[in-house]
Amino acid sequence: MRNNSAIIQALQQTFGSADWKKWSMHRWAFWDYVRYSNAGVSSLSFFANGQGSTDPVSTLAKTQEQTNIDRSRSFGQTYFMLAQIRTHIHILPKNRQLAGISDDANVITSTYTDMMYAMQQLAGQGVLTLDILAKNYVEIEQPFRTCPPGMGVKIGQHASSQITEAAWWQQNPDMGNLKNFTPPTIIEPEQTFDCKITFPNANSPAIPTVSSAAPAVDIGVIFEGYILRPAQ
Amino acid sequence: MQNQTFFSSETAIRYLANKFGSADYNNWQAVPYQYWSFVAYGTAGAASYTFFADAVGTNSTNKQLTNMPKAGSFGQQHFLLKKIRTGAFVTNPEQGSWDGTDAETLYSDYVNGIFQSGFFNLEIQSKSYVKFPKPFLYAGGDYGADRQYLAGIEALTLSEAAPNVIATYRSHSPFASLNNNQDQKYIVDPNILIEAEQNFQATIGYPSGALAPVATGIVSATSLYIGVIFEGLIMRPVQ
Repeated sequence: MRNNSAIIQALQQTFGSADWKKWSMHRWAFWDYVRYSNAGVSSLSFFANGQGSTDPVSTLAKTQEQTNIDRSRSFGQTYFMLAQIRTHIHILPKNRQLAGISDDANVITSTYTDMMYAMQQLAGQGVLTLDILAKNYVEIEQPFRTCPPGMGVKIGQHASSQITEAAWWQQNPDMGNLKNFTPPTIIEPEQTFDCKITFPNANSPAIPTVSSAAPAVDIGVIFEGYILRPAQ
Repeated sequence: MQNQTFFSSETAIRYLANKFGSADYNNWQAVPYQYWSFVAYGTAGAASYTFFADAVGTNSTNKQLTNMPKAGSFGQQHFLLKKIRTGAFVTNPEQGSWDGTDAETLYSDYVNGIFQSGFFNLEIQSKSYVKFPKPFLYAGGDYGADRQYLAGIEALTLSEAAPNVIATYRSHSPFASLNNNQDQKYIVDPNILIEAEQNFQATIGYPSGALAPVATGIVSATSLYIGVIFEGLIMRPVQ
């Protein structure tokens, strides 16, 4: 579909009983972050576990910080027009890391360094796929670079508190490099979809321990677009 | 009540004219405007921070922290919300006294602390209209962040040997800010009209647990403020 009115028109023809004049459309984001297995993985599945269900790796209940979907692999009773996909390699904040890291006095300006190189390796791997009703719609190589998060901080300079080098790394933070989809794709209410990042070349990189603890890293996929829902 | 969205200011004015027939909208003006609300982050973090909940002058607020005319509403004027951005400021970043630890620089929180977490939610009349993750990253843009240019070392000690070896070393201090490019702010599309006296609530939540700042040497109860800024048009009678 090439424009919004064509989408509304198509919906009207398919679902004649709805009064589309009383529907509204808003820019919206659906996001899902899953915990990375530090040994490396062959694939990561997104939007499979909604809010309140357990992340299989972290074994913690997911909150709105990790996802804002309520259903597994579906957006429930709203239409979603997918216009943009972002990925995000998210190193959990220091104070949410395990002891060893969270109490390391200078983990950010020294001890994290080797992990940063592993993050850089991860960013150059993977294939993102999106299937809707078992039919493939999106296939992207190196998704962490092709679909950057378009968000991050502006680093003036990193610093070192040790004799050896200290590194920091983040994905491309600029909005201008986001991956847009034209024409956008509609995911209809209750339609199931499957979003994955696979690593067919070999397993994804292992993340080294930091201060004798396993760093917690979440991998996120963010769908940006528009929801169509009844106005109340 | 249905909340309206508009693709242009003109259609918003027309809508208001139809809905509130007694007002003479020929004598109204639309003015580019921004409303802001900053709250103290504190030393322990919180499960949620609510913005625009205090009118200026109440609950120890002043114009540095907010310019809201009324708690949770824009009072007697309509506001067409076009853009959302987040912000933060610290009363003294103590950039010149970094001791090499994460606790003594706000940089730690920019790259691996409180600014890397949370989610934003805007509800108007209890219905969610805008929601996005990592608000300080997702909507951090459009302000003139400082540039800082450092070189050299902050501290160096040598151990006597033949030749001498470096015992300890600390480079210049680190520095980061929110991403301030103009296009980094969140564009509300289509624009949302928040009508006069309509209640709204903007929050940044940390439902995975309150997150204490890493920079404990910098952040006190009232030294670090986080904020949300709404940009758009106010529509008010011409005086």
